[in-house]
Amino acid sequence: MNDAKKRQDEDFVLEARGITKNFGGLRALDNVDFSLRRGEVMGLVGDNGAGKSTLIKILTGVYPADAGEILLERQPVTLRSRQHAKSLGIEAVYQDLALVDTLEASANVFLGSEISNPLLGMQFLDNAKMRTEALNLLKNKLNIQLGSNRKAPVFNLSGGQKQSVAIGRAIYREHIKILVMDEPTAALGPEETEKTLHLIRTLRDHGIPVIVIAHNLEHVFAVSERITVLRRGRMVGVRSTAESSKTEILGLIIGAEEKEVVPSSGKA
Amino acid sequence: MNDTTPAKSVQKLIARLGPGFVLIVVILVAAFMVPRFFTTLNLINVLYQSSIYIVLAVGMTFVITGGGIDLSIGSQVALISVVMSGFIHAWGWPVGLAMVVAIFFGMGLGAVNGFVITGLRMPDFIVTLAAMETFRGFALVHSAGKIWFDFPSSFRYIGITRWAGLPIPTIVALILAAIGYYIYHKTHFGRYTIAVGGNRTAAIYCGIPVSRYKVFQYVLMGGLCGLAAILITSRLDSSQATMAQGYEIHTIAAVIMGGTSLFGGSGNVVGSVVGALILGIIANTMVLLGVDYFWRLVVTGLLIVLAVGLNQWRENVMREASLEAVKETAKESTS
Ligand SMILES: Nc1ncnc2c1ncn2[C@@H]1O[C@H](COP(=O)(O)OP(=O)(O)OP(=O)(O)O)[C@@H](O)[C@H]1O
Ligand SMILES: [Mg+2]
Repeated sequence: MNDAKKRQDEDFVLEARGITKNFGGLRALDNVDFSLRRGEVMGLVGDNGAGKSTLIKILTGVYPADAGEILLERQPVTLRSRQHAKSLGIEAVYQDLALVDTLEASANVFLGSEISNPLLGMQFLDNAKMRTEALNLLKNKLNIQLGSNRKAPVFNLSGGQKQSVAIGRAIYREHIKILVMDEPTAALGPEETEKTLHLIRTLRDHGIPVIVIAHNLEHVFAVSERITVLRRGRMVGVRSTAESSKTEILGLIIGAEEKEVVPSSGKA
Repeated sequence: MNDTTPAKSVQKLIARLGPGFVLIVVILVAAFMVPRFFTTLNLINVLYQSSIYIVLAVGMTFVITGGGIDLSIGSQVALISVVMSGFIHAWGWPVGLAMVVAIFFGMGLGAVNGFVITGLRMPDFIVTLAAMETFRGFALVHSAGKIWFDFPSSFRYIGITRWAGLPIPTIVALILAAIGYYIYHKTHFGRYTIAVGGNRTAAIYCGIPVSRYKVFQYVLMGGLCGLAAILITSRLDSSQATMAQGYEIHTIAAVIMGGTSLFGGSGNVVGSVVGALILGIIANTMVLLGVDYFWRLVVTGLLIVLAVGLNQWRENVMREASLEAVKETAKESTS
């Protein structure tokens, strides 16, 4: 029993060791370790400029790291490009969602990998089939219904619906292994936030491990199993959510032991 | 929904009809002012005169949807026309060969635009403005002030023959519009044109080769300039370097009137055809009324502003309506 538990603990889908990244003279990441287990939601937190986005861009193939190694399902990999990372099953929903506002939901879900039929030596888009599949996906996996907005351009959708379309595009491929979400709740109202958090849990329950960046610790605590904290480009702690507290995480984020970072303008 | 006044409903109805509404108004005004307007002969004449603009507007719908604009199409038509005329007259090429080469030549001109825009990362507006000047210059150099006329009858056939009562250019334009509609909605090319114009970053992120599609759009536009050059040259039975001036303005106006967004990302091929017809009817009516050519330019310019303004107003009404719809569905889903 204990052994099995231990094995599960070590069941890393993704591992990064000693990741370092410089932008010119600026060290955005310094020897950062990171891991993601099968079936967990990992919260990634840190102050502005701590290096969160940089880390996930490296993990999703947007940038190469200057040093360090990445293991996907225990195999070392070199992510050559975003396309390459996608082909390995690393999907991402970036902060700006990257939807084409003027296209309908299903066209966005399938953008870049449309379903088409050959006719007279040419390929014609099967819009009806894409619509059915996209709506099924949103309904079954994400529990989102678009109602009367099924065929409407996505600028007509609410923030939460847009979010689900962006996630739908990331997860519709069967071979998805990891989903990364950069600040998925940043632009949402309370109700939509609740839906998105629920959606993250739903994904985890479908066996897709998720990395979530968020500034709101409330949200991180609501969805995550573990939390990784970055401060000024360094990894300063990994905690099990259940065994930690917001005070502890906040302390790690701002560096409680370094008193000088606490603003004391009131006294000065 | 109880705050909906009748005035608002009328607004929405007009907005939904869009360019169709303008077309109906223009037809009614024309019929009222010129009794001769509604004769079969005149209606066919309007279609005949609009067919060149329909051909060009179909191509321009793709270019503008893709976030670009092509100001060089009038010059392209002129350059292709004089070069093709040279093939036929000076070199004695068979008409069919000259026409095929004309279309490929147009695609080549479009490719030049596309490669300069994507390769040098320059704005579409600037590149095609420069091309407008350059292509016109080449046309003037090539023809050296000559006017080509008296084309072989096999070539003139296209411009003057009717099939099933309709002039060949009209038939060509309508078939082309139907094909354009299918390409726009049913092919990767159409879909990616919308994506590139709507959100370039998203398109890149989804692995769409955005530069390649931009070039394709200009190649299509150039090919259609070739087709337009054939139709207009054959119809007029003449060709000279100064022809087809202002075609870009008319074509862009027709496309914007038809509901294609000047900001890219959304367009309407059928609307562009309607836009071309609206401009055709206005021109035709003024000719029938005997309006002086200079005044016709003034009136056309003002009407273009009016129609484009109307289209912008329409987009605002539609956006408002859709925002209301979002609120409605939000309410539905919470209750
Ligand atoms: N492309 C880049 N070129 C130069 N510097 C960069 C680049 N991207 C990030 N940086 C710098 O690297 C550091 C880390 O940035 P990063 O975007 O990863 O922070 P973050 O934790 O995501 O912050 P936020 O919470 O504000 O999104 C910052 O100092 C930032 O200015
Ligand atoms: Mg960030």
